[in-house]
Amino acid sequence: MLRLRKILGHLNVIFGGMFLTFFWLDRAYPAMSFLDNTISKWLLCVFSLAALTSAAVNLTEIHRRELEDARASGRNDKPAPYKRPSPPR
Amino acid sequence: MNSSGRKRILPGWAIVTLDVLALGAALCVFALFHHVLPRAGGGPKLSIVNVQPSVGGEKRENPAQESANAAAETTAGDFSAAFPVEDTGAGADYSYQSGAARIAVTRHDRDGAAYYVADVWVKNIASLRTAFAQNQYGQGIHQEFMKMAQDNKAILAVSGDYYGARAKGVVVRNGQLYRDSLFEDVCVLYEDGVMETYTADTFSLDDAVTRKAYQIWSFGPRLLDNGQPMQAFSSTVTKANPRCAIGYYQPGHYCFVLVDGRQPGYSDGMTLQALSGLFHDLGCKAAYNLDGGQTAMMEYEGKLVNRPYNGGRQSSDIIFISE
Repeated sequence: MLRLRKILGHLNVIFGGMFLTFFWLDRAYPAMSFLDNTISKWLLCVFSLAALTSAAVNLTEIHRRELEDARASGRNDKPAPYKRPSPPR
Repeated sequence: MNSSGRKRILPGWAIVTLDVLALGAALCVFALFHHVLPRAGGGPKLSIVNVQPSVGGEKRENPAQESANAAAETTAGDFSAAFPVEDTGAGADYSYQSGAARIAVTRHDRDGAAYYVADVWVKNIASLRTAFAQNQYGQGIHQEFMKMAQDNKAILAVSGDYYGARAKGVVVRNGQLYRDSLFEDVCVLYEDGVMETYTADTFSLDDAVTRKAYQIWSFGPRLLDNGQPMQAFSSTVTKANPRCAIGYYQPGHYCFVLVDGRQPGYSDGMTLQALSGLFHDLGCKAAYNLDGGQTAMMEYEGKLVNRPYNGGRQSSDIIFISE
């Protein structure tokens, strides 16, 4: 799971960097269709899948940890409710 | 677990560096497929008008029949009545005078910019033609400018709108529609010799097809508004640069302006505003900016007329005059 998270993290960095570059290039040279072309559309599809998978893995991991924390604190049915920290005096 | 089995952990800066390198490699692969590798675009989508050249670089199966067809089909593009009888090349640096075309190329200097004006009269619209690099339509297809001019037996040639570098922009060449996706300002040369420029929101491809568009260029911006110089343009490249542009006086009478630039001590180039003013001073009714920068080149009878920035570069199309 850790390896998958690492791979997805790096993929997201690369795809995110690519689309930021495309966005900037598209503003400078709109006629070259850096965003609106077949290759970019497929890259966006893969980027979305990587981002969704990464999000699912991270949320699953967070949920698992919350359950573990809850079990450790004696409440194995659900995690402890959120408690707003008191404001500093 | 001994030390040899321990997993090596890279420092943070190395991970960031590797990610940046991977990003750079990914962008290079994208650039390769996006605009370096040639992608043939196929044949024309629609034949709007059929104007055949009387002489050209293309192989033709039945020239006599084509010539007869051309004569029958291009009456709208016949400018014999307006074609000058006198020599138009007096005082010009280069002059070509024949019964089909009159060309006079003169060099000028203005506000630190060296530029060439090619005054062109054609007797028939078929003499004003365009050509694709390697005689093939598509993206990423390039060829040396001089080779294109030579292959098409051009008397005079200038670089075109470099349609192949972009995925958008209407492309009509020699009466054939190749691309119909609109992009910003458009220049249309109709079969009857009238040239008009449009903003993207006023252009209608259907109307242009109905009026028999012979050439449509998509680069821009347009440089004159009802014959008057403009102050604002639909382009971000407004600073002094090498420029190539086409102007229109009347059916059969056009001009090409080639501005050298980015060469301190010789020529700085021209701003769009200055170029607009120049076309107004020339007396043009319409004018349109084509691809400039390193692409801007002009050829006359096999000789490179201007001094292109960094020696010029390959391009995807030319506009040329032939008989």
